[in-house]
Amino acid sequence: MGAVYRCEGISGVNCSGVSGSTSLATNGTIELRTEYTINTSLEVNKTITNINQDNLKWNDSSSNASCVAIYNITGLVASTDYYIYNNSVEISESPLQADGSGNLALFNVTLGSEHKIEVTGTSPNTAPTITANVTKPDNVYTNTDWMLNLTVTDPDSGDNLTAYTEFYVNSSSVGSVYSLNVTNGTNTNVDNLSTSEFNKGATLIAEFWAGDETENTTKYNTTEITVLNSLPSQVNLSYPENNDSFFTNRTPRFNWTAATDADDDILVYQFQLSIHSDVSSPLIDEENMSNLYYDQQTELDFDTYYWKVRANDSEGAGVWSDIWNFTLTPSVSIVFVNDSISFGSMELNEINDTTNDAPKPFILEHMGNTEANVSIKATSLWSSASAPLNTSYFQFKADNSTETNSFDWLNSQTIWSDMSDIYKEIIGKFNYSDSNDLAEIEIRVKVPLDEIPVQKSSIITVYGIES
Amino acid sequence: MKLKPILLIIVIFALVNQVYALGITPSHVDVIFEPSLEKTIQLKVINDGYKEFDAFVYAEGELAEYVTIDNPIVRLSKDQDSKIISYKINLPENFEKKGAHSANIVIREIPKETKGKTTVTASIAVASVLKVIVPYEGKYAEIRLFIPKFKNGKESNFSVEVRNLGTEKILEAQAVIEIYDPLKNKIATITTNKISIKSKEENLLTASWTPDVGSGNYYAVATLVYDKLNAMEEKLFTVGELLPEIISISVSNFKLGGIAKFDILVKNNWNEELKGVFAETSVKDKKGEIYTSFKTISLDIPEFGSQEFNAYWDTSKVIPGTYNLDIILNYLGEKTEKIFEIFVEYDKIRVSVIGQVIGEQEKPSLLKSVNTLTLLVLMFIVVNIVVVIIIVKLLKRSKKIKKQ
Repeated sequence: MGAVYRCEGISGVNCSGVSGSTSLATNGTIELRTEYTINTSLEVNKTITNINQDNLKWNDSSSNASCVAIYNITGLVASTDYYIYNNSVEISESPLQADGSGNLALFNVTLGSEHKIEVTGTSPNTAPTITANVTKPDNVYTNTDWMLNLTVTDPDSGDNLTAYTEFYVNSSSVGSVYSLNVTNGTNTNVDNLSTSEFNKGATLIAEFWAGDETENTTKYNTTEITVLNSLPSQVNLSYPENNDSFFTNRTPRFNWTAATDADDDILVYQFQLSIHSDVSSPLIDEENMSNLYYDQQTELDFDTYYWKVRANDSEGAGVWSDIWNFTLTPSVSIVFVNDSISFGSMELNEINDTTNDAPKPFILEHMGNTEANVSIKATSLWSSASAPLNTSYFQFKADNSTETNSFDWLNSQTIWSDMSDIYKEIIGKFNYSDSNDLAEIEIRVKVPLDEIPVQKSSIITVYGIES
Repeated sequence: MKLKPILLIIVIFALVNQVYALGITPSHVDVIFEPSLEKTIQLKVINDGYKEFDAFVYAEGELAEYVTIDNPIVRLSKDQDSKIISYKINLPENFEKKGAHSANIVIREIPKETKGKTTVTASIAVASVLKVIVPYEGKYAEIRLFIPKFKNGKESNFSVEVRNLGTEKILEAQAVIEIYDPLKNKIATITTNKISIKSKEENLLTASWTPDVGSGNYYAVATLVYDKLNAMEEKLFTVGELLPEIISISVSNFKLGGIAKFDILVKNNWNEELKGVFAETSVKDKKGEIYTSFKTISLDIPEFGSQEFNAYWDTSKVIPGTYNLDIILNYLGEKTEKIFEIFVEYDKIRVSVIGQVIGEQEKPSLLKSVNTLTLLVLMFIVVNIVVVIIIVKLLKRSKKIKKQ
């Protein structure tokens, strides 16, 4: 055989050919024998770089690419597994266990270009893997952080595992790489992207990887998600109060409190009013209102009403408010601006009345919400037997106030009528609208000739009832 | 008159002891008769005058004997705007007469002692009417029509509230709603769903309508047809909003220093004539200083028609620049305001709505006049050029003739 060996070794290693096709490298304890299977002339180079019972490393090359090197190693630690790498790739037979004498079973490598062979008693590191990545929530809004959960697994028990994360908003990195120690095989929330970092419509990606202090996984990206629009919050209603069964304003202002919007969008409101308890077939369906109220323009009829409001941003509507109801009831309410008239001292047979505003007449206002008829009665004013009630000594009539058309003139007592102790109608269809709800009750008194000169007084009672 | 409640409160405080008020709600209560019905009914006594007073509560009228008032004296203090009171009814086994029977529940102030010479003092009583309706023999229904706020092109529903005040069940009830314009032309007929209604119960019918008519006043007649009988209710209602619109503003023959005459064209989108419309105009500079205020004469605008209003501005002390023209349209006691930006130049005034040009699709007459003027100037230049060319040619020809 025409082989040429070139065998080099580190200090303390003897390296030589021992026969025609075999070389030997030894440190005195460990022997590495290599048998080359090619009988034709070739050149073999061997360089020993490490040799001890825990680890052997050498480089082998052959000028013939078909040359197979068969390695026979002795002097190793008995009954110990040894891992064998050819150019850092573990060979298929690995690991091999040294027998009770420290001899390793033969293994071979096909040479050619230089091969880096390693035999080591230490198990090799295995890179971790990321077995699960989950982002939460599925739909991302500006009011919730975006969370990344990873499960990192590593077959090498005892490795310190670290997850690394970097978030990108609209393709730009946010902050620096964040690292977190994680437990092997445990799903862990490794990082959160704060809501303060993104707005509606932003695209989010998380780049992540893991390492075991020896090796890192490759870097992965999550699926890109787009931050969705947050709909406005539910509106809270304010007025008319819920279940008010004595509500009397026929043109109320419906109030509610402002909704909130996580995106700070401009909000408008939709208001619905109905006599149906589910607010179907609304009588009012007003949209795109920027105010927090709706002013009822026309008078509502007396009934129970149901209403609700919701807020809209530019992309959609929030949920409807609770449905509130109120019952609009008719009311009659009479207000006297002045409740007494004093004619002062009067002479016998003197006549005075309130038509010249001296003294002023009674001024009534109807503060109710439905037309009313008003009647009047009185107690006796005079003590004289010649001037009882139902005589011209004490009379009344209705008159216009500063607000004309406040009552039905033709169906009212607008000429003097004798005061009675039973009710007599004075005002018909007393109006209640703000601009036409004032009327005057004029009083006329005449002092009887035989009236005793003492203080005189009468109480009139004005009686309002729905027309 | 939204200020009136405030004014009234001021008056109330100013007159403290002089104002006196008493109110009641509901001012009527309907009860459908049931034999031996016992029921408690609540009323709210309203103390709008915030005055301390005592009042009697009593029943009078046909049904008074069936009414029990547990607390016949009600006391209100100055800080109570209202108080809930109640009364009980205990109806007999039957009433011979069908239909309505009533009693008045009266709340009457207990008058206080009066002092003074020849004094007349007022006290108030108000009543709530209790109406007991004894169902009519057979079938009988009453209806109420509820009309939504209709907008053009938007579907909304009429609602018809049906009360079965007969002794028998209504097997099938359906309402037909006819809609008329102000000239009583029928413009639509719609029908509701069909329902059955038990005796003494009520239910709602609905019918949808999408107005395709001009804004304005309309009239709805609802007829409930129930088991070969019918009941009817009529109501006025509106479609859209009454809002006259300024469709153009033009200033013609303007020279700075003279009187600018603004021609303000106002359109009435309502289906009835708008009477007594006038505009109040004011011109302000950008600092808000008012240069002129003007009130136009009152004019009527026909239904769906338009009317021109004229406002004037003496520009003798005005310098070219940008001003605001504020126009308040007054109509039927209502007002609508719009602000325009006007650009005063030496021989013209251009107008635009703040933030937008008026009538962008249909150019305002001012813009039209500017374009017309431009065309006339161009035509004038072209004619002049042609005339000059002709004259030059004629001169050349005459020179040639002279040389010959």
